[in-house]
Amino acid sequence: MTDLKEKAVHRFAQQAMGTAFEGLVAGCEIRYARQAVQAAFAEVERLESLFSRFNASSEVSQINRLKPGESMRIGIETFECLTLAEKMRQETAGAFDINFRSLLKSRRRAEEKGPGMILSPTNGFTLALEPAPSENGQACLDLDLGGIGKGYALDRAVEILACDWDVDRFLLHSGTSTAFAVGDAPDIKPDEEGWPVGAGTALGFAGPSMRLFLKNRALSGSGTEVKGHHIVDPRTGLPADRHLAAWVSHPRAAAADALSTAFMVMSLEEIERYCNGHPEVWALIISNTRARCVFNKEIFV
Amino acid sequence: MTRPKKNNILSRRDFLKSTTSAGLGLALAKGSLTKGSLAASHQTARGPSDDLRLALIGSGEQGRVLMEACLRIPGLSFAAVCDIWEYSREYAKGYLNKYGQQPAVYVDYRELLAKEKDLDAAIVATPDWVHAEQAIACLDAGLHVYCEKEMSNSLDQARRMVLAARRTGKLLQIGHQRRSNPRYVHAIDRLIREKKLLGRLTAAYAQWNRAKSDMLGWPKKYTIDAATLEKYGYSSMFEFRNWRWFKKFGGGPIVDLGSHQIDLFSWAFGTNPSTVLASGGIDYYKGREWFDNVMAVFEYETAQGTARAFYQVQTTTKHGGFYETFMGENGSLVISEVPERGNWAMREAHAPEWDSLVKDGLLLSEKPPIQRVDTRNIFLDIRVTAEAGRWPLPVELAKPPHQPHLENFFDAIRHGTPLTCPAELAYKSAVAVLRVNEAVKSRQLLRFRPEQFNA
Repeated sequence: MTDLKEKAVHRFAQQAMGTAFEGLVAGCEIRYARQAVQAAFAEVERLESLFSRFNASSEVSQINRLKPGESMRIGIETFECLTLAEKMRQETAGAFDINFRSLLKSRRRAEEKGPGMILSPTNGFTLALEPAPSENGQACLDLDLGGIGKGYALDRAVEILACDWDVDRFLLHSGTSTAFAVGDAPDIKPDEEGWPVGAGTALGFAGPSMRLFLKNRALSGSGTEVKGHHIVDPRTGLPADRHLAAWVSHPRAAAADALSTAFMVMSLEEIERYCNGHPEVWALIISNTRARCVFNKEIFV
Repeated sequence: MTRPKKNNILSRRDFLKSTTSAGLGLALAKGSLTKGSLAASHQTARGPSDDLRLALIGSGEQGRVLMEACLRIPGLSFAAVCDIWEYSREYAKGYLNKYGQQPAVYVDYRELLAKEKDLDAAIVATPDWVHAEQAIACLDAGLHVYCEKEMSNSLDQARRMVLAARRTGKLLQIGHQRRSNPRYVHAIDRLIREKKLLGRLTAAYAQWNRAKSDMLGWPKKYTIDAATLEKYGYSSMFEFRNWRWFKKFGGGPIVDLGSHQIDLFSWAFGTNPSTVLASGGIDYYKGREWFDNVMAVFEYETAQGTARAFYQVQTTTKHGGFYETFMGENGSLVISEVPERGNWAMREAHAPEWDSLVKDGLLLSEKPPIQRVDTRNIFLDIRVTAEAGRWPLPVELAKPPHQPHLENFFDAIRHGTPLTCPAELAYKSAVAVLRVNEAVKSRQLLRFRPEQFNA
């Protein structure tokens, strides 16, 4: 018999990074669970103060204000997040790009003033800022860590809960767009493992098959249903309307978040090529024709 | 039932294995980013010989903030880290290791001072009640000291700190970090005091409101044993974690939070307060010794006449968060350590023009409330009510909150730059702030004598 304490799931939410983070904890006394989740959310807040584009004192805002030729020291967290973002940019051939705002701006400027103004897509944050691409000495970086920053924060929060506080059964998510689960949810069947999670109920293609048991991995979803066509293809500057939705599962939330965004703008062929080289990535794409395209492993079983 | 009740605990090692298998290690990071202009501040184990060698005493929540800020300042290395809590020691050591620094780790600051003979400065970020003892020991050991505010929960101890700095000739900077914040320096020194942006400054308001919250917990495996806790003056782990709420160790929310902002009142008015009146209590929480809410009114006899400031701290609502407002006959200025909560001035309609300040780059102009029409041969466009114009402060001044104050401290060591918050100045602030608790208790108007502010 499972006792009540074992069955209870404690839920705690907190506003951060422009969304609501939430932690669901099982198998743990409520006070301890709350304190542990509080500590994890404090880490999310700390990272927000580094990554936020809306806080002029943040590290990312400082980077975005750099003038050509200037440089600054950054901390390990921003360094790691930028490194991952750059890795993703290279691996997706620019479909994922945290400097997309700057690319779009310079493209708009180019349309207004003629060619010759477009920043090379390789001229991201890894290179020294050069005075050439923009006239009047404006900075050409406008980094937006958006989803990858939230994913990175989620990974750190998971580490604090699991490694420091020894909480071994929990589900953490950043505003439902990315989730990470550890251990088992209460009240699942003997042959099941992990935390049951659903996907995409509002789009109409959800069914019993759009449910999965998430365990020791992250799942991230991107789609057009919440904010309309809010993802822009950094390579073309056009809204992404290739697919209706994309889900990616990965051992790291930051990578899952970046890839689910990138896959929305990549062709099915590009996604297939990517997934062939990355067996740790499981993906499901719902195409514009509502076709279900599975890569590497069926996420929803 | 075949399923085990508990899953295998995700051990740290397993977890880290799973992260490295995803290929997100620092080795990769180094390879792909070191060519860039945004090089992370990696240093070798032992920095160049002109590096300042630091000891971090207290690597808890605030110690980490200061450590992170230091890691963004060139020419520093942490030679030693000290904390009575293993969790904080491990965190700081692991964090510094990521930057290639290998600090020696201590439980007791006395052992640290006895063994480390090659230090330049100490950063003290322990609970208030041990600041004096530790800062004075560091000064006596020949170190410059950056000590967190509040200097002490006892004015007598705070005075001893001032005297020790004087006696040793070493620098003692207190962590009222707004004193070095370029936006605050610009707002108060340049705009309010020098340019008289607000005209005669008649009033000020500041608040720090926080949502209700539990007392802090701790990971079970990092519980400090009773003997160690007792040795360092704590009766329980609970008391150690929540020291801010107990009279023996701190001054409560009005001191923790208010001291930053009440310090600004004196800075802006150019004088110390003459009276304080306050109300507060332990009205919401149980088991806490300090007031969970306080409202205080200070009077200032400025060169232009009497001015008043109202301060409130709440711990059951985060309404409005934290910010400061300075009000004068010609306008007001709202500022917060987080710029989106306050970083602008508002002009009264009758005030002298501010456009020349905009031309000089001292102020930005967002939405002028009344648009002039120069081109259509009319005097005025009649449309919807004009929004009151906000005049933002230059955004280039926005820096992470603690870094400029630490930079000031290290510049003082290296180049003799004057400290922006030396112990003498922080002492004046402590006099004003610690008195609020007395005023709450006595329910009477308390007067300050000018000489009280001198240690």
